[in-house]
Amino acid sequence: MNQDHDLIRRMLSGDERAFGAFFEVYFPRLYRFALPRLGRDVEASREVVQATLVKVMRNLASYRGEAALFTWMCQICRREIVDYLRATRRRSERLVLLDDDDEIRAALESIEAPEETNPSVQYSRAELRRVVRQVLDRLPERYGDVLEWKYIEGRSVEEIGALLGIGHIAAQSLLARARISFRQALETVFGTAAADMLATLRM
Amino acid sequence: MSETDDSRETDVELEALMQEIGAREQPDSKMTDAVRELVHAEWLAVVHERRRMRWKAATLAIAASVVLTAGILLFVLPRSGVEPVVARVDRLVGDGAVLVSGGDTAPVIANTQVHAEQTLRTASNVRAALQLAPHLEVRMDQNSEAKFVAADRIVLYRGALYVDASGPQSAPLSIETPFGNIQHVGTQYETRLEESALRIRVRTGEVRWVRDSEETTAQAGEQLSVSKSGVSREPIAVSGGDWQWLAQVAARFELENHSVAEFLDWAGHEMGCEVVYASERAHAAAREVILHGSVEGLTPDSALAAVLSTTHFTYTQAANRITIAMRP
Repeated sequence: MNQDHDLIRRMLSGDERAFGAFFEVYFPRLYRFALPRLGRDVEASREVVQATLVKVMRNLASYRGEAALFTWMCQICRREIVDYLRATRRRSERLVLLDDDDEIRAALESIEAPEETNPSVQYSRAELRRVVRQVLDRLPERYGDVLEWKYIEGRSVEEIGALLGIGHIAAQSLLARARISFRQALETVFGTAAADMLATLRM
Repeated sequence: MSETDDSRETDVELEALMQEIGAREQPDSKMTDAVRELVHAEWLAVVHERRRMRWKAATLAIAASVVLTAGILLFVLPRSGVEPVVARVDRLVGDGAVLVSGGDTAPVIANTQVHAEQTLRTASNVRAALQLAPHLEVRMDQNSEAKFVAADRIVLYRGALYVDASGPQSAPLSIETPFGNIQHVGTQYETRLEESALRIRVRTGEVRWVRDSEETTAQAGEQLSVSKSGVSREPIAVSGGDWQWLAQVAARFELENHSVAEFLDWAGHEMGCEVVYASERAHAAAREVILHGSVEGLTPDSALAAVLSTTHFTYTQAANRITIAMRP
């Protein structure tokens, strides 16, 4: 949360690099948040995320750090989605997603401050995949990106370091922290059944 | 198994899992550039506006000092243009309440006056009690925000307000929320604004809820839950549990030279309980026995236990009732 506060402070002071970092990290995450909630309508998602980010800019100074920055933006995005659907009279098309379930949402939002939770929900494989991707989006710093670069794109530690402008040791340390954070986040969301649920994904 | 083996196994597991879920979807670059350009323009406008306001504030500060140097005693001039006082912060627990007025924020302490159109915001672990009129008090829970539009009108943005308007001639008050407006009819009630619903819990008296052409009332011991889809009603307890936060900002009671009966009236009122006497003898004695000392800093339930332990009275509490008896 302190990093979030620092980022906002730098943005409010007019730091272009802070704006760049903010947009690069949060635009794709918000887009992925909105897309499934709008029936995978790309144009609607663009409009809603754009409206959300404009609102976020106008309210940057009021961000009080009571929730993680992404959680705060998701709250604004949810309202934008409702407004969009109301304006376009497409309420019935709105999808209620697994992570709109109160328990799942609470677990996802508590990733930055893990606590005991064990949602008693049965997941389909597709839902499970989507929730795990949401977990990656909720990880602090750029852990989600680092894990994707390493394990999906097969990039070396040196390449990851180069992408982030940091040295080999710092990149290695970042990757180690990302692994631990991801594992803890999965346990936060899926509770004690995390290992079993994830095993079903790999079956 | 060595630590290196463990780490390698974790790596393999993680790789398998990541491969299975696949890469997260990315917005296309054309869309990204278009949104970025628009949001960037908005961000620049916000930054420029902040700089302009700071510059304006600095200019005003200089101008003000020049005016003062010239010997104009502004403080004796009538405060035309200042909004009227609509409430006073009577009690405050915790540090982190602010009053927002225009773009400015100011810290709040006990006895701070709230002017019309000012917004009061409490952080976590901060609670406040405000006096709006002689028989009208509003308590604000932590993480709440409300605008005091006028002495009889509050707009609740988030969190919870508790209204104590149970005096004999309580002033009117309307609380406005995105889920409708609430008016009391001589009562104690809490209204809590959540993300997708409004919860109105009535402790005593009656509350009226209005939204467009819809209208309903809730009686003591009832909760109304209002969402966009409709209104539901259910019975609730009027003491304990969910009401506990109010004890932190309970009304003060001056114990010195007041009777046990007066003290019990206060404790019962704050705890949401009816006080009954096991016998007429107990009731008469409670009116006659005069107390000395102080309950400053004690919550009502702690004060009740502490004070009665020094007297000839005993009490039992069950549901919403405190029964007072004489010690055998």
